[in-house]
Amino acid sequence: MGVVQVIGRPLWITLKYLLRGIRRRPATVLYPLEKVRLPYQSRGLHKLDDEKCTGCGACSRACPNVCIDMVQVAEKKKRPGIDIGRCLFCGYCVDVCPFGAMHMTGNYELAVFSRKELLMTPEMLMKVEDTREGTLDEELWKRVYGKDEIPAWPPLPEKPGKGKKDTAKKEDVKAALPDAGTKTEPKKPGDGGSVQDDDAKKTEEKPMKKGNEGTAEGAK
Amino acid sequence: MDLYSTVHGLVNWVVGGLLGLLEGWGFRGPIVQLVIWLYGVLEHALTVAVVVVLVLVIGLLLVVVMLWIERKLIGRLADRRATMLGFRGIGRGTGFIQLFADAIKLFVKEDLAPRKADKHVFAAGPSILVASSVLVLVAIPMSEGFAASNLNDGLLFALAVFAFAPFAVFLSGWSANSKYTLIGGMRSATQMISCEIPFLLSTVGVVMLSGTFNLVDIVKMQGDIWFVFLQPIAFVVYLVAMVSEIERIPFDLPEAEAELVEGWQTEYSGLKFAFAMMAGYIRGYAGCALGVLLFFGGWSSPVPPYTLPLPWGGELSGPVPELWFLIKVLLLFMFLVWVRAALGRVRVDQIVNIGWKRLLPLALFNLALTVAMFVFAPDLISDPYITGAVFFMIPLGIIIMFWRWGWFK
Amino acid sequence: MTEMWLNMGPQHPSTHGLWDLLVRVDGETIKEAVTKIGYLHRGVEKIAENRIIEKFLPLNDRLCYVANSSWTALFVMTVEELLGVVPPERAQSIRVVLLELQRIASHLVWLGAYCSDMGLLTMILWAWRDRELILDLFLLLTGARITHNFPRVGGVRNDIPPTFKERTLKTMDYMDERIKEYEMICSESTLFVMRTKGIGVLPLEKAKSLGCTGPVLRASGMKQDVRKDDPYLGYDKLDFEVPIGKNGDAWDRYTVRLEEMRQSTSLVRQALNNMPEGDFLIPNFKMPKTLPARAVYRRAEDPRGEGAMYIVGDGKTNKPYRLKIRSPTYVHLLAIPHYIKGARISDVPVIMGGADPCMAEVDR
Repeated sequence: MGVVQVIGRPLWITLKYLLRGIRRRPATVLYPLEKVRLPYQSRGLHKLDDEKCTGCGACSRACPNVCIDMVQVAEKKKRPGIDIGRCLFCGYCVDVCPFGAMHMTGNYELAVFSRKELLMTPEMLMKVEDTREGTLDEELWKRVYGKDEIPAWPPLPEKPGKGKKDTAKKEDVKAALPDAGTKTEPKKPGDGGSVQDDDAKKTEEKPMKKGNEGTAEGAK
Repeated sequence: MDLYSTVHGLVNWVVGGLLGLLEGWGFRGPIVQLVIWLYGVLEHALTVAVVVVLVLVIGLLLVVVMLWIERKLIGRLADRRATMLGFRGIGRGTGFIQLFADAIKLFVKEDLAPRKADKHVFAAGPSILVASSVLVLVAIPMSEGFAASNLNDGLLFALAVFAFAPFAVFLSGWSANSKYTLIGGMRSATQMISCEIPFLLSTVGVVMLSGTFNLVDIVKMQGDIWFVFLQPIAFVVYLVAMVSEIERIPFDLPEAEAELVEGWQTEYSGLKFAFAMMAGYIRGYAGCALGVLLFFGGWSSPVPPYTLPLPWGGELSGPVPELWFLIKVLLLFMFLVWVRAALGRVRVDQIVNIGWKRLLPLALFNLALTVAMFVFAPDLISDPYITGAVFFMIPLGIIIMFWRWGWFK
Repeated sequence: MTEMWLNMGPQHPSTHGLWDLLVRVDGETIKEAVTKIGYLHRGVEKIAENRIIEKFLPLNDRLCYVANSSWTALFVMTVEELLGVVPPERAQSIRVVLLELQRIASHLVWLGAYCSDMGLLTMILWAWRDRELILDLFLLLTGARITHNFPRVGGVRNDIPPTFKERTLKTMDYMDERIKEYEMICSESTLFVMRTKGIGVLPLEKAKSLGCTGPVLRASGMKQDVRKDDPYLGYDKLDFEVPIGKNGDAWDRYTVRLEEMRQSTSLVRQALNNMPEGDFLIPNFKMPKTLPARAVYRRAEDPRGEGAMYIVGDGKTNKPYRLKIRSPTYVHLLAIPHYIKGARISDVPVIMGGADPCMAEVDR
């Protein structure tokens, strides 16, 4: 009798999961066949908008790990190049860019075969696609975790127009939603004074240059 | 299907064909006479060899099936899909290829040994383990004719050889010259000592009821009612002791992964580790097969006899006893996998407690009860329904008690 | 002469992280133990002396790979106290939501690893499956699953996204049901109880003298919680209980952490439902050019105990002169040899798991 008392409850709960797994799908996402869609705030690979970037270098100075290098791509034109191997995807370069030229897409599949491919030149950054599609989104959560509707991720914002300062990034999203106009406009953190710029300019610790890892010539 | 006569016919046909080939090529006279004389001497030995190899191959194939069942079932019990690597690609198949990939990986690995280990015992450990596990397969019949040998005391032989493996574990643990394996080996010896006696005692009730050690006869005696209903306590004791003998969770202390990195198997790599893993599953099959033979009626099936016409002429008279035997063994094994998914590991002193203080009195109590029934009410024994009713009240009572306590929510 | 020194060493499946426990065993009983740490030392405190505050913020997430934001929030609170800055109420509320979600996620990791050390293989899968939901909440709120980089000096990085509140409330309901299931497989399983009751008993006086805090101290019977004794971020307005245990064994540590998970779900609900309107960052806030010449010691309730940071600014530069991080697990790991005598080798993962090691904060 003691044996049955010892093992009764755990056996019952595991059996419940077995039976539940027959009716609805188990909690496995069969990557790479199925991918989950990411929200718009997720921080993946960077994307550079060529028309908006002026080459001011704020992103380069704000980076904690010194991975952004301003590369001379044409006569009097500098663009940032990022070393993905050193990047910690903190999002400072996006926060601090005054023109909204730097975005972070949701691209997380960044595995490469050699270290040289980790140095993203400005041309590569401009061509990054914002792939936030997934094949498996709310169906998985609805079927696995409950019968109610789990609210979806918020939609991606519209792209602002050319040449304008990107002050309307979050306002656009809020305006597109049904309960628009009920909350106060939040401030962009970059508006509160470019704190990173001021301190970084005046401090004597200049970020170390990365050396001739190939980006100075603009080639891989 | 009688295995021996079938294989005998097969071997006869092959040798006859070989002789015909020899004569066709022009050999006459002394060479043909030599072959015929040789065959006359070796006929029996050759047949037995083929039979044994066949049983071994079936056992190994069953290991593959049992591994697959274990992995998929543990995954599903834990709310995930397991081993989706199949014939149609990653994530789409059933998962069989994973097992072959594992086997190939283990075969091509480097064979290491610690420097100061006792080389010969270190290499002999897994070999003794596998050899003793496979030897049990010889004594287990899958149906009336399908047995490598129908020993007259098959049960005794199977139990004796089954108990040999912890000795091999102990040897291999000690010979590897590593503290982890030493502790693992010692734990295995402790576990074996404490759970061996209840393991043997639980089968004595069955032997008393059927009057013989011959496994085929035991199954035949279960024609009216299975022994699990006549001896439920013995079945519970047998199950717990068997899980402890084959070293599965909840009793897998010799290879407790969190405390001793793989225990006695720590220093093994490559083919030796494959042997150790395989031996575990062969012993699992042997233990479950013995359990089915002793308690669940062997190869009896609920389906009445039928005959199916085969598409190429002839007919198949069913039910096929080997198939039903395998189904029952796999069902019992699935219960063991369920237990593995749900429970944790016990400590060494707790397993000694369980073996001596809980299992042994239960086995003795069951024995006393059976003897009492034989002495005081021998007619009742032959009336299976009354005996079954009396012996079945106990688990029924337990289930009702738990239902009243509100467990099944 | 059957005693030997066994090295449950840096490479071991059950010491989560890299540390070394040398035990002197006689058969299976432990006579003496010695802890060795330092395999993961990265010099974080020294790095802090060469970085300005903003550039040091992302490094706080790496101070514990399981409960990241609790360290970043602690650092930001310390700097705010040094500069004399008070973040707006909405920012404090958002930080409370983040910290309590982080507590649930950290305890889920602990539960999975603890049970898998004892052989319960399904528990780790269930715990990490539920942690995935919470990591998705973090992804929605902050943009990353583990290294959030979310609190800023003077507030937080961004406001709550539009559908975050509904998702979080649904996830908290789901978590309540799952905690009941965890009880079914752990607390009501006699094998689990046999493995943890009476193991690794740490009496209250010894716990106090060794400096244990957090769930380890609460399991020994003392009701001590920084959120109640020294409230920060508006915890004094929220309503929750602090669970304590009776004996100080491994079973009590398990029940204390399980109960803490329940309290955290209720805290998240309260913080979300009563969130005040306002700014999420102090408007037009500029970090000063130099840090004031003061020293500040600020403590907070980490999921593992009482974490604290001590920052010293000199009045000349904007980098700290000294940053000291007090890690609770450091104390617990070094206290283990004092109460592990007499246990068996099988009990070592149970006792080590009770201290909830996360080596990145021990070695810093």
